[in-house]
Amino acid sequence: MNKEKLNVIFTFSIFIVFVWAAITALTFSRLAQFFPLYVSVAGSILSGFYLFSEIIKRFKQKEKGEKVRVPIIRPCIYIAWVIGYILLIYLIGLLLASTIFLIAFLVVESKFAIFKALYSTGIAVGVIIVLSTLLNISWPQSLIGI
Amino acid sequence: MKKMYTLTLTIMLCLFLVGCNNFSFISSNSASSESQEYDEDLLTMVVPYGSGGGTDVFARFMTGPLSKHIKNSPNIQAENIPGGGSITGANEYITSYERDGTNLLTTSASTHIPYLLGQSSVKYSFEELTPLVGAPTGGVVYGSKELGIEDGFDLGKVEEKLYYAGMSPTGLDLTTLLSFEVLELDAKAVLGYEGRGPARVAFEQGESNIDFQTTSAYKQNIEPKVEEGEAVPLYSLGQIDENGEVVRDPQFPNLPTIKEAYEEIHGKKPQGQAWETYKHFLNATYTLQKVIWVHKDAPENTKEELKKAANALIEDEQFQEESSAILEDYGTYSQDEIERRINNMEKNISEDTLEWVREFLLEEHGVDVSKL
Amino acid sequence: MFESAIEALSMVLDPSRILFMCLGIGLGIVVGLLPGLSGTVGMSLLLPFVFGMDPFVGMALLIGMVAVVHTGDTFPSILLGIPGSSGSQATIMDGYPLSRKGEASRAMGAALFCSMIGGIVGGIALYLTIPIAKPLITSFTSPELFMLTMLGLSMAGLLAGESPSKGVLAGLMGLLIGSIGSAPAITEYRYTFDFLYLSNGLSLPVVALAIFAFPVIITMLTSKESVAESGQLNSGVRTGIGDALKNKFLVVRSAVLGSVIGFIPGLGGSVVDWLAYGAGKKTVKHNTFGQGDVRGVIAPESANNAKEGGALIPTLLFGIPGSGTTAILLGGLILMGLEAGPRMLTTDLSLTLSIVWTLVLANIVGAILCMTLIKPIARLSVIPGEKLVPFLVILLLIGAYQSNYSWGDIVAFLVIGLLGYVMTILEWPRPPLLIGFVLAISAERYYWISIERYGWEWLGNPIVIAIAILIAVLLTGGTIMKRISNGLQKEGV
Repeated sequence: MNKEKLNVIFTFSIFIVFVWAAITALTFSRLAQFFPLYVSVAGSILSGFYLFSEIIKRFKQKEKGEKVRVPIIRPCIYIAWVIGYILLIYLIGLLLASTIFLIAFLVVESKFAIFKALYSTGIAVGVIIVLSTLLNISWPQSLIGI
Repeated sequence: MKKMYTLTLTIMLCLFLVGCNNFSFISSNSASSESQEYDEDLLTMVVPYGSGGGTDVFARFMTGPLSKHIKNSPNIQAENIPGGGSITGANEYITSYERDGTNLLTTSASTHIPYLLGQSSVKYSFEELTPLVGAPTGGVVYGSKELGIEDGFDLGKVEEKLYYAGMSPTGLDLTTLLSFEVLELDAKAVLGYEGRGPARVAFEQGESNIDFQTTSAYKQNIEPKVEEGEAVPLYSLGQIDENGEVVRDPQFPNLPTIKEAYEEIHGKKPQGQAWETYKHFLNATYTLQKVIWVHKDAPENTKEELKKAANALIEDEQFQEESSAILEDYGTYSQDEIERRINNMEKNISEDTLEWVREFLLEEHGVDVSKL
Repeated sequence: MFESAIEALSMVLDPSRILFMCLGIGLGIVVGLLPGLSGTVGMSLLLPFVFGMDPFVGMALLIGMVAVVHTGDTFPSILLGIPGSSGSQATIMDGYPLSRKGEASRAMGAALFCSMIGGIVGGIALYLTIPIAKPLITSFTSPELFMLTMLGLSMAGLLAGESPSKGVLAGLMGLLIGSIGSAPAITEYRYTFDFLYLSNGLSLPVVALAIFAFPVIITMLTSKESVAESGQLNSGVRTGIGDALKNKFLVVRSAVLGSVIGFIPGLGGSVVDWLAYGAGKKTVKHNTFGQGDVRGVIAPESANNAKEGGALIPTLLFGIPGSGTTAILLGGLILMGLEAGPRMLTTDLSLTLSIVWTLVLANIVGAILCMTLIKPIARLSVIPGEKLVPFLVILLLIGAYQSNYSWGDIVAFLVIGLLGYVMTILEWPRPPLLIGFVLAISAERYYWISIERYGWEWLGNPIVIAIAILIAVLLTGGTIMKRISNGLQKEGV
């Protein structure tokens, strides 16, 4: 996607968040209100101005036709990997999820040979187990309780 | 490239092992011996606070002596569940810990207050819990020498504006704020400090001129100031006795309680809703400040074993000696006594008291309890 | 006091104490090295074991750990652009660009050397301030503390990069994120959507990890590159040390700044590295901070180790923790049968002095240990992204989870991480957001207390006015100075 366009969309969402925060802050009691109110009002005004100036800039630049493109699809795929991994942890627990995630990722994305992927996964899972027992590290709880 | 990859992984692994092996050396030393007769060899102590705080230290300290008196000395492992001002952890104890008597919970005043106020986020209830061990603490209110008074009996003569530095109206400060209300002191409460320590610094700077500290902090930091003449002890918050009356704090036998101060200033015994509320919160936040619980519906025989262990603690001289720093020399209650006290507290709470304190918080400090 | 210092040294050098100090150092480096784990985790890990220990041994263990966390955390910050702990965020700013150029070893050499010097300066600062600590601590009233948080926030402006409005907006976003949860003056939950998780606000380790590490993960994958763009590694530990020696004044300056900020209670030690970085950026001539200037690594690294020495002053003498780590240290003291307070200067003076020595020794040992690790660890920066990232993802998620042991940590990591990623591709500066987040609660707290206690009178406080002028100079003066120096340069040509 076009970077300038994305920037405008992003600024607009920030503007919306600030405005929403300001309106919500009005419902807080006096003691809790002043700080978020100051911040969000300042944020709304500034992001409003910035948004305005960006849009104007965009109109001017249109004639020049110079556009920086930002990749969208590939990052989304990777973000989906991470989200999928998190969901998997939620479903089947950290250990199993990590094993599946690692093998799948290494084979699909890193183009590892199956054997090498298994071997690296083994080491990594071993490290996790060693770490968590010795460093007393907790794992997220999952639905099936592993 | 492949080589490097393996190399790095191996290095990472080695690193972890090096770092961790050191560690396992200590842990193997300190792990307590386990035996086979008793079916429980591992108990969990849920601590709804982060590591290193007062309650965490208390809980961790108690695991050792408590385990010693339980049959077969099971290992008691402290588990911190921080967040939500201790509500998260206490809720979790009720909702997702097995009620088989292997899970214990340590609570403190800041766990008790949200329950007493009936906050909607609270899912725990004293009715679902059986207290095992309980320990009190005390509090002393003191003033700056600038106030120009000698003791708490002169509080009525103070002409300077009183400033009090505190953290939050629904925390431990509540009891002190209620004590001001009882004494009809017009003290401006500046709340929002990070803790009792920073509040004490505010006192030293003159940012506040009336303050309170709990027993050991008072003895450590304020008593030297009293000797130097910088601070004046005014009154102790007192303790609640078996009959529900305010009595002198055993750690401060020479310091008048708020009750005596009131009688001196106003020439009559304190009474009314403010006084009733004060006593109720004094009980829940000081006299019963730290409590270790087990699920009420845990198996009866396990509960009996735990109760027996709690009672044995009081007899244990070694425990009394070791615990003096952590329990501030107050000692613990026997299990029967703590259970009786909790039951009394539950019985004595009236809707009027609750209504009054909610009104007090809303009008004086702008806190709407129903929104919490 | 000098004699007792020597006496304390002989106590510290007792073999069993040295052994426990080394255990502490080992753990400190590991938790520093692992993103998401910081001194707080290390402390809570050691806490159960110090119970009943001889205080000298226990303190050797705890202080040994604390002292080197900010030595170990340098590695991930420089190599991967992921903060190893929340105290080494500013190191990323120039450390990561240096790694991209293949100069990871040089950056780490400089950083570790500065960490060591910083730690020693912190120890000396602790020693020197012992007699005058009391008046120093009580000299900061709430209005002054508020102005100091403002000074910290003005760093956000300095780090904004080319677009000031983006920088200020990011700072405001940080402040807004920081105001999630209970207000300081009143227990009222704001922007929590009825999630109990949010009622205490978001945790700094989660936000710091998410905002820096998540974008790194995705970028490394999409670019399919290793960290070092050329895939080659220049050696240069010695060059790095040389760099540090060449900038000795910057090192000492930053270290002193670090220990001073560390000892002011209530400011939050987590901005120390940013303050040092910002100060460096303003005062170093002809710098290219942000594009891989080794001095941008030297400044924060000298400061963050020095901070721990400073932070111990209010902790030990007043029982006021200057950071999350020291808060747990207080609990540790109680477990060993001691209590922080004025007594640390009288009856327990030898213990306090042994802490000073442990701090100094641990910093030296830790730095040397880490130096030997530079070579193998630096290779991480030449591993291609898609082979390194899956392991990092697991490490980061587990790390984030250690903040509250709650699913909320992971969700927050993901949400803030996505925000961070969008900001990265749109070139919005992220440090201001983090600074805003860290300082939000202090700013609100001290502003409220100042108004509530003093009305508007506090604006007339001379120190308040002095800090206000300093902020104005920092924000505007720098650009003027730059113009002048640019002018001079041109004339010179």
